[in-house]
Order: sequence, then C-alpha cells, then structure tokens
Amino acid sequence: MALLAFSCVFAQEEGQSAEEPAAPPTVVRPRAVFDFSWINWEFNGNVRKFKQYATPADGWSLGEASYLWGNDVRNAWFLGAYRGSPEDDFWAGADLLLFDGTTALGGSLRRNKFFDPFPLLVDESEREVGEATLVQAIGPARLALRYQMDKQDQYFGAPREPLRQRTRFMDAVLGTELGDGRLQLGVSERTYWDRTNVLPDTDVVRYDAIVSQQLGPRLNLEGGYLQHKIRVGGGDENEVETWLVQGDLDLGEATTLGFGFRYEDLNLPTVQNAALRKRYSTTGRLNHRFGGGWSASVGYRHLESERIRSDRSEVEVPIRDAWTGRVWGRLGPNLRLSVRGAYDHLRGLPTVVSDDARALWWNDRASLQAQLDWFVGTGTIYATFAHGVSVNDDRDATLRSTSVALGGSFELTDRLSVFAEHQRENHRARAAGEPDFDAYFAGGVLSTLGISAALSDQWFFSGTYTETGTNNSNLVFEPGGNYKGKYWSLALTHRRPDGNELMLGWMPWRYLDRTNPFYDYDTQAFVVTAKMRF
Amino acid sequence: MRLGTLFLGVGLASLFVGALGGEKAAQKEPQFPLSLFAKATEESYLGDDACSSCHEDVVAKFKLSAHAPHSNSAKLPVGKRGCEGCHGPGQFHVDEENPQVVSYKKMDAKQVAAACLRCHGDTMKLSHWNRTDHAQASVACTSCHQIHPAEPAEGKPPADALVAFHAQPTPKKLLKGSEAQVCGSCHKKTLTQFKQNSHHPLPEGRMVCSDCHDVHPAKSARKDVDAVKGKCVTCHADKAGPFVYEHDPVAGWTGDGCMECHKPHGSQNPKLLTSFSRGACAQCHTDKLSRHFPGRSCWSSGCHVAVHGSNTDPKLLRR
Repeated sequence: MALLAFSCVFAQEEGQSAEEPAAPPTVVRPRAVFDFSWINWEFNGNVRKFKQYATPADGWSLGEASYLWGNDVRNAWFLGAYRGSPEDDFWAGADLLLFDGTTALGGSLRRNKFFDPFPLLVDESEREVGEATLVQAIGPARLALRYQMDKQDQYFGAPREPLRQRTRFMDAVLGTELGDGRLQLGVSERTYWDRTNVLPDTDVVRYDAIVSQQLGPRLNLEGGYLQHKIRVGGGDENEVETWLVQGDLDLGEATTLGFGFRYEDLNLPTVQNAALRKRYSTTGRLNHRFGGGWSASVGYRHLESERIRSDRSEVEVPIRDAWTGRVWGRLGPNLRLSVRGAYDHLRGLPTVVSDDARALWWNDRASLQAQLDWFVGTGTIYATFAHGVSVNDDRDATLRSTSVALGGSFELTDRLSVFAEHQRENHRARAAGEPDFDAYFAGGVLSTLGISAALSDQWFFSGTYTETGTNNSNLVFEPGGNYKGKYWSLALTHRRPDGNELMLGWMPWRYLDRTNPFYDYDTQAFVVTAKMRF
Repeated sequence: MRLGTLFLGVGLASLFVGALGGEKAAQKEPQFPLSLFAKATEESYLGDDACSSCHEDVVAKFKLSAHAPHSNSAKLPVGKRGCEGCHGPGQFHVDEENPQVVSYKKMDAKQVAAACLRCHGDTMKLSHWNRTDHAQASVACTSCHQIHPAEPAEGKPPADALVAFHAQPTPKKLLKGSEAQVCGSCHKKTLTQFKQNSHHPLPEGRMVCSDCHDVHPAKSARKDVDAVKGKCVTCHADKAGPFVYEHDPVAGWTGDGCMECHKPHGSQNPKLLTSFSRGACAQCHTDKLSRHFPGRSCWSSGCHVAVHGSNTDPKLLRR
C-alpha cells in the first residue's frame, strides 16, 4: 500500500529535469482546509504484512484539518494542522511566531501503529513521538530549546522478545554571529529506558562548542569540541571527547579545497570485548570548475583507529584510506554526464580472536557510477549504471554488485504527463569453499509507471503502477526473500473553481510471497475524499 | 598517525599564512546583489506601500508567509525590512533609465545564497553553504524554499492527493512542499528506492528526509546524538549501547557503521539488509555459512538475537 501511495506522491515530480529541476508543486495554504475521507479496504490475507510500517485510516477519517493565520500588524503567524484518524495513525502539529518572529513556538504529536509481519498472531506495535520547541532571539543571538519524548512499544514474532523503550531528548543551543563568523554552544541529554527491564537504562549528556571564522578573503575555518558522558545501567561513566577542525580555501575563481580533521578520544569502561580507544579522521576534497560547464572533484579520507583487542592483549591500529573522484558536465546542449568513482582500502587489520583467524572484513572496495541525463523537449530521460567490487583477500571472497536504473518523465502536452522508471540490481558473490555463498546476495527488480491527465478544466485523472520482486533462491525458506508485489492506484478528481475538490480512488494491491503464503495479501481500497477550503 | 598529524598541521599553517597574507588587502567590491544594497542610502528605500501600488496582490498575500513576521519588523534596519529587505532598494527599481531589482528567479544559486544570508548569518555563513554538495551543484535556497505563499495550482492536480491514506506531517515552514517532494524533484532514483518492499517509512509519513540528512551544514554536528554510532540510533535507541560486548562493524572503526549491513533508503531484502538472511553475517563470517547451523537465520531463529551488541553474552546470543 505504502508503495503505491508513494508512487502517486511522486508521479508529478518525476517529470522534472535532473539538472535544472522545475520547482516542486507549491504548497497551497488558504486560511482553512478540511479534507474528509472515506476508505473501504476489501482485504484478504496477512493484514500484518499490509500494516508493516503504518496503519492507514479505515472508514471515515480527517485527511486534514488545518488553519493558517497571519497578521502583518501584530507581526504574528500561526499554522495548526491535524491529519489522520484517532483510532489509527495521526499527526498533529502547530507553529506559532510572535513578536516580529523573535519568538517561535512549535509542537507536534504523532502516533503510528504497525506490526511485525509474522504469520501468527502478534500484538500491535505502536510508536508515539511528542515534541516541543522554542526558539527565542536574544539580541544578535538565538536560543533554541527542544524536548522530545519517543515511546516505542514493539512486539515481534517468537522467539524475539518485545521492546518497550522510551527515549527522552532535551536540547539547548545558543548560536550567535561572532565577528565574521559564528559561535554555537550546546548542551543536551538523552535518557533511555526499557520498560521490559532487559536493556539497561542509559543516560547520555553532551556538551558542544563550535566556532567558525572567515579568515581573510579566501579561508574559512571551523573548530569544534564535543564531549559525551554516557552512563549505562549505573556502571562506570563512559566518556567520548571529539575535537574537529574543518574549513575551505579558495584557490582561485574556479578552485576550492575543503579539508577536515577529527580526533576522538574514547574511554568506554562498559565495553569488555574489542573497543575503540582513539579515532582520527582526515579528509580533503579539491573541486574545480573547468570551462564549458565541466567540473571535477577529487577527495581523500584517512580513517585511523586505535582498537583494543578483545582479549586486552594489544592495541591494534586498523587504517582505512578512501579516495573518491567525480567528473560532471554537459556532453552537449541537452546531454549531461556525471561519473563518480571510489576506492577504499583497509590495512593493519586486527587479529581475529576466534576459531577461524582469517580477517573478517572486506579489505578492498571499489565502485564506479555513471549517470546520463538527456533533456528532450519537455521531458527528461535518465540512465544510471553502478558497479561495485568488494574483496576479502584472506578469505578469498569477492562480491560484485551491479545496478542499473532507466527512467524518464515527459509533459507530452499541457494536459498529459507520464513517467516511468525501471531499477534492476544484481550481485555475484564467491567465497572459497562456500558454493552457496552467492545465493544470499539476491537481485531485485522494481518498475514504476505513472500518468497524470487533465480531462477538462475541472476533471483530472492520475494513475500509477509499481511492481517489485526478487530472484532470491532463498535456501533458508524465510519470508521476504522471494516475492512479487503489484500495486495500482487510480484516482479521478473534480476540482471546482473555488478550489474545493472531490476525489474518487481505487487501489488494487497484491503481495505474493513465493516461499511462505502466510505473508500474502490482496486488497482493493475504494476511497472518496472531499477537500474544502475556506 | 603522527605523520598525518604533522602533515595536517603544516598544511593548515601554510593555508593560514597564504590566506591571511596573500590577499589581505584585496577586499573586493561586493558583487550583485550585495552591490545593490551596498550603494543604497536610507532614501533609496521607499517602503512596502510603494511596492503595493504595483504589486498589490503579492504584498497582500505575503502576510500569510512565515517569513512576514520577521521581515515586517519595524526594529530591523531599513535595508533589511519588508519587500526591499529581500528585493533591494525600491528607488533603483523605479529608476526609468536603469531599473534594478533583486529577482530571485533570475539570479544564480550563489547570488541567491548571498542575498538570503545577509540576514541568516546567525545560523549559517556563506562559506558554510558553499562547502555543501548542493552549493557545488548550483542548487539555490529558492529551489527548496518559498517565501511568498503560492496560489492554488492550476491544471493537473498534484499527484500527492492520495497521500491522505497515511497521516502525513505538515511541510516545514517556508518549504515548497513535503521534504520528499522537494528532495525528490532532483533525487529521483533515491526516491524510487523507497518503493522497495523493505524501506524506511518515509512514504507512510513517519519520517522525513531531514531526520537523517542535513542540508544546512551548521546543524549537522547536533544531529549525531551518539558519539560512536551517529544518527541511526536517534530512533533505534536500543542499538546505541555502548554494550558490554560490542559487534565490531556496529562499533564503527571500519567506517560505514550501520551501512555495512543496511541500505538506508530501501532494499529488496527484509530489514533493509544489503544481503539476505545468513548472507548479512556471511559477508564477513564466510566460514559460518554452511558449517554452522545451516538452513536457519542467524538471529530470527533465536540464536544471535543481540546481533547489534549484547550486555550479557560475548557471542551475542542474549541481549
């Protein structure tokens, strides 16, 4: 269901150019909007798979009730909105600006119900997130306060245990201009507790200070310090200190050099096996714009860690070097090419303390991606090819991944637009002595089509079709490894000159799990929506 | 490492010297549109009433914009107030011989950023913006933000009419649409990945792009609520740790952290995995694929249930 609704959302946007995107549809904000919907789900099969991520309204629901108010005399502004169904998922939020916008208050509450897609009966999971914010201008500075409470009650199919966790987050940031730069000071606290009392309570307090300055006409520097104090289950306090320096240097009208250095000092007494002690990261990226609309960038990252071996016998220093490069520009007036490549190499690999002492990690990884955008009249055709190789020399293992995407969107006439995209992904994996290794790296196919038409000045039609599937041989007979999904969405809309709308929709969706039929579902939703503006 | 630090230190020092010394005196004249504000005097600003005489409907509708309370403030200096705060001094616009105006539809991305950051310097400086990939790709502030509330769209209906099936959050103030719409207008392929069978619940309205991505770099450091594992544990708090027994790829030294095993947008495999079932573990533990309880999943079978880290078992068999 979600897939199809989503395909509708983006049917129109995908008709836009990749390089010079036409503006997305602008938000229509009259003073008041009421949007009532009636939905009937004709449903067969596994409702938990259907509601894996969220629970859409069934029956009557308030698609939207929003009110927008602006007053240029008192210089205040308000927008409040409620969407959804109190029995199912809902979202409510409001923003208020006062006193010339120097005070901004915001708040939101959202609740989602969903399921672990298990074939047998599982309790409904629920997540509720409430948030309140206050941003107050104080002279040239700005103080931002934020409070968030995240409640997650999740229930899974056996043998997984339920998770009933709460996370409270409080954050205060003071930011101000400072000379030709800015200063930001912050403090936050994140408190986690598990109502099943399986996971320990965790409290993280963070202090941070970030300062930036423009030094001369060509150099901008930013420095920062962050300190995390983490207490797990009443044990010893863990501490992580981070220092960072980053900046940009103009080397000319067309050339810039970005650079950064980050150092982390970790003291994690909670961890009793392999643990990080220090981590250093150095990055650099050179960008240059050539003539004729071509640009290129070259980047490098050096990541070095001090890792205490799990038996505490030694400190090892694994190093990761990563290079990236990108070239992009126009091959012709209507043709744009972007090519990017990356290579990274792990060295100084830690000793493995287990029965098989061979190194566990991909020591070399390389990838190449090319994208071609062809602007044809009122449309765009785009094609992407990506190939990646990962190698573990110690285990004589190789993974090759290839993905292609071909898409296009066209405004065929003022009244008709269409889009289509096809994505395909394939992997070839090999490991010494493991003939079935390849079977676990499944390919996948996704195709999506859409059409939007103005039948007259007041009647409109839109439709999308999305199909997904895998070619997984699924040796472990697990769900979600060999499936096919087909999702249609068709809508007919009548819009009156005053902006009020009536929409009729039909959505036949089908999901078929070839391994385990208990996950199949088949639904046909009929929808009537009335949108009124005042 | 010491060599790297030395190299970095020498490099930075030379950059300092070069930047401070080389062009210290070479302060350039501001370029358009800042040049327009630079040459204005107080008399160059005519006030909103003057704008309204020709652009009455635009000025009237502007009070519904979340930008209005800020820019209409009488406490602002005259050069940052009202229509002229963004569009430049009215006197230059009505000059019959050489009419000049700051038109955001006609400026390039760099000029737009320079104009917007005249006021938004407390949250971000131009140099911050210039270092982003968006700036490098000539994406302008106005590519995503709208300052004037728009008229109802004419012609074909926006295709998001069907989104009412899931409760969606209201787009953030001054954005042109939902984040998925705005970001997706360029990042089409990424957007299509959310149609995969396993995906983050963005289509269902449970999250937005900026929950993970920072378009404005000045905010990026604050989004990493966890020092070691970064943004993912903002929601997946049970995976944050630190655990008594950590799992190496999750602990972060190999660089990709969570993305060693997961694809963040969408995957053909359950749980956003890069590979299916035992394959996720076997990409490192190749020796366990066929010789260690074959035919079963490593975690959903009830064995390594604490694959992200355990507080009780070094083999991650219990949470």
